[in-house]
Amino acid sequence: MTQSGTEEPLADSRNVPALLSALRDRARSCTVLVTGTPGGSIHVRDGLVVAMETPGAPGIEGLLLRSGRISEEAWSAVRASDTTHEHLAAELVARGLVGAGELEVISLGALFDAAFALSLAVPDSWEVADPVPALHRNAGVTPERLLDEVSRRINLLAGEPGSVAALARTRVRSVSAAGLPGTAAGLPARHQEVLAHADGRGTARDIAFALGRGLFAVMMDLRHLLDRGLVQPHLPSAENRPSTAARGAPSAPLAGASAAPRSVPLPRREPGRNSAPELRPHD
Amino acid sequence: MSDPVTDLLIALRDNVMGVTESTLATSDGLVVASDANKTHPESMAALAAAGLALGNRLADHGGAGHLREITARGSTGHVIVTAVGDRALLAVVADDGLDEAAFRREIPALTAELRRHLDKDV
Repeated sequence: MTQSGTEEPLADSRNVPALLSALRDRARSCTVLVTGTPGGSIHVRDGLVVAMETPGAPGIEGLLLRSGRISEEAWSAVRASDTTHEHLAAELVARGLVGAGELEVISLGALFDAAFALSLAVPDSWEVADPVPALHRNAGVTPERLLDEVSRRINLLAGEPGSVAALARTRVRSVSAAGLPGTAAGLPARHQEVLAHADGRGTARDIAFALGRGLFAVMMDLRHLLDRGLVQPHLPSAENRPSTAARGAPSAPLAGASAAPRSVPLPRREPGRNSAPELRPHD
Repeated sequence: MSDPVTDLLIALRDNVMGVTESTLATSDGLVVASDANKTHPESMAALAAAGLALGNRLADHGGAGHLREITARGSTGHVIVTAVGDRALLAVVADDGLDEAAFRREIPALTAELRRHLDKDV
């Protein structure tokens, strides 16, 4: 199935884009496993990138299920019908669950979004492995087009102060005034959804997964909300925890438990310090 | 007033993509610390303790050796319960994009660190 054993090793792999270019020149079909935060897998067919999976951005399955576009039962039935998972996309279309054109748009959108998410982190290492089935429906994208699209997205986000990677790491919280009537009234529904999920705990990626939307789209919305002052970066605070010591009656009374509470004099009002009433002459 | 144990839970959410909430509980189901917003920590603690106890019996009955964790895998997320020594447990809620590799890297060190903190309670 794969010719990886018979081909000469890939000489030029200083970085992942260079590796993808080399794979493009050899028209290879393989999976590039990238480790890092986030890592991911890049699915290459005949030298063209057809899909990417990464924890950094929602995949096709997540987008379809989270948004309610297809039901869990229907998705289970599709997976059950194809035990090799090679023809999941064809099965989705054949059953009329998703249109062929719609699935292609979602597939390409998820691919560009995953490439954008992977570009925000420096990979620790990568290796080329045998191809594995991946849900996709597109003819494949050249590494050059992928790079162009990623730089276009980064430029769109970096127009404002602060780097794009820093924005991706920021945990955002809606400001208290954002809940007031009228403040968020003029916002489109998708901005209001992002605002509702900005609880100070999640990054743009977490909001994207919660909503079943793309990472880049959510980051654009967050940038807009940050500019309007409706969300702000969040700094966490914490409380003290209770003890986990074994419970049960103490064998001896705790020292000091019977001691009387420390006596503190009651507060006194002193004349002249507060606005006390003047002394009446007949007292 | 920041508690080191709660800080460890927040650090887990920082270090592992996809982790959204976590609750540290005693093995009898009482909350010790939590980093949660959408889940109810008291309920999560009780359910996780019951689930882990069942998992122990399941692993024993199935001859699967010592129980490492139990996982409830859903269509849009997971709940993973890991024992923290024999006194406590950690319930982690994650979305479907959980970085499993990072989770596997972080959890052993985190449970060991949590144990060190809990062992000080005598």
